[in-house]
Amino acid sequence: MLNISRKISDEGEGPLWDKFKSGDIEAYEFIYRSKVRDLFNYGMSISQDDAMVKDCIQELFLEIWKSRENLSATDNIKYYLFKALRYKLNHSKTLAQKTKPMDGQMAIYNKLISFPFEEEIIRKQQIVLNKRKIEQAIAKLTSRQREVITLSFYEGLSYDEIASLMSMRVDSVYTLVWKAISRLKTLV
Amino acid sequence: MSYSSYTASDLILNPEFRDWVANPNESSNSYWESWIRQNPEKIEEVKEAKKRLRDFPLEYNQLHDDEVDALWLALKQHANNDLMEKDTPTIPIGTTTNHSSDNDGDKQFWSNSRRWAAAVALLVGTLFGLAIFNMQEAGQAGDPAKVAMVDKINTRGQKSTIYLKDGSRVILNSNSKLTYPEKFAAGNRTVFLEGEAFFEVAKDPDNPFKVITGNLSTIALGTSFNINRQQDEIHVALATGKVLVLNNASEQESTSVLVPGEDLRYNKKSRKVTKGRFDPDLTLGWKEKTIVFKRANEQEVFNYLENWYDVDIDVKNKSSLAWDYSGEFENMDLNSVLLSIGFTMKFDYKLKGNEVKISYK
Repeated sequence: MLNISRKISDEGEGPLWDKFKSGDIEAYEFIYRSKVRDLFNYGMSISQDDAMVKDCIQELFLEIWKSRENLSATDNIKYYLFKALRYKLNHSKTLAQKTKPMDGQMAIYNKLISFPFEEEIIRKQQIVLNKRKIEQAIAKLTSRQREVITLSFYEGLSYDEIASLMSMRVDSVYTLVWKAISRLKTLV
Repeated sequence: MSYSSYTASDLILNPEFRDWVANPNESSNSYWESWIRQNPEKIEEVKEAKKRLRDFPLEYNQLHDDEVDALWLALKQHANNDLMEKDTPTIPIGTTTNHSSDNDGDKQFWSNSRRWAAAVALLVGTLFGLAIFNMQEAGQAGDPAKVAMVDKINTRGQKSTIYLKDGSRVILNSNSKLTYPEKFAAGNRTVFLEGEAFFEVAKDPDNPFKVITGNLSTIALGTSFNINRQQDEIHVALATGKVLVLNNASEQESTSVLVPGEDLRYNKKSRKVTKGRFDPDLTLGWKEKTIVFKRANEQEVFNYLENWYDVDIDVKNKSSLAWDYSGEFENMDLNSVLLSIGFTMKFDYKLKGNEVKISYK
């Protein structure tokens, strides 16, 4: 169910970023807490391994803290972090694939059924019903399609922003989203 | 634009359409309803697109609040270690050369004791905060004793910005104190203020944001406002949104609603409330590092400067002019400000450390 619609451009984040760069731990915490959920959701569209996504996010935040004085200025923190996380994940993903090949679809399915105990009971019914549907849908999406849908539908990035984040042309992004939508269409 | 070939997929691709389905509001309703009137043959495509969006087969990957807290604490630990590493080597180099082994001990002790000092300060702050919290919130729902309170205290000459867990931002003026819970409990966003602060409250209609200043409580739902609590007066000025001000001075409880541009003054002695309009430059200038005087008298000007620059101003003789001073200083140092005011009000000054001596010509 699509229920989230957020704007990427939290305008005028420049001062917050500057504060963080000057070593203000409260600004750092604010940035962490306000972006970590979106980063996690985005990361999961790339890797499907939630431990790895979390590790990469933690690493990323520790790195930006250590090198805060030398970071470039930005007034769109979310975009900045998305770009950095994307690089990191794609890098770790290649490493992980070299060592142990992972079944992406299986990982997604595992994630869906490993909710905390109370929620698991409530969700079980729904999961059984939707399981096949989701498996089928995901099987039909490529990882880039999944990424582009997450960015566009859940994280509210504009097609221009997605293009620059994924280093693609805007019309290719549009085509990619279109293909993903068409594939999902047959399922519902 | 022609929509003759527009399909459900095209609608789904349109971010405005998705936004309308997920979070409909008045303006998007009227836009899409008129779009459907203009393209009546597309009604089935719209229905289809809506249905497909509602049954969208991808999940939003949630992180639980507890997990975010745990992840943050782990990260903070690492970040703090990093800070410590950078901060500790402050032993003068001259002493290290002779007794290097002793000095390692010193360094260890020094860094340990500094850590202790920080821990004690935090504890005192917490206890004090708890006491206030218990006094004021006693008998209310929840278990406030469980909530750790944080005090942010600005001395003279100090200003700071505080980012609260709920996304709200507070700019705290000098000589002011904000007490807030480390973590807001559900349904309760309450902070305590002494002095002056500007609040930008994150929108959350289910959890009203409450600022308690003595007998006044200011309650907001996603809004920005300034509160100044001084010796004999509390002043609440609303910049955007809407706030409710509750006056719980014992006998009669009263409430007032403020709209942007309006303010409310509560006189502590007479316990009288007056509503009016405020001057934005005068009231909100401080948070832009701007000092604004409008028809101010001698005492108002010097008191303000004492607070702003953390100095003591000593006036040696009487002014021959009647003070009715107006002026604005954006991000200027004390010398320039004194020079400028002195030129108008005909005085010389001497600045030495934290002392300013004024002598009228």
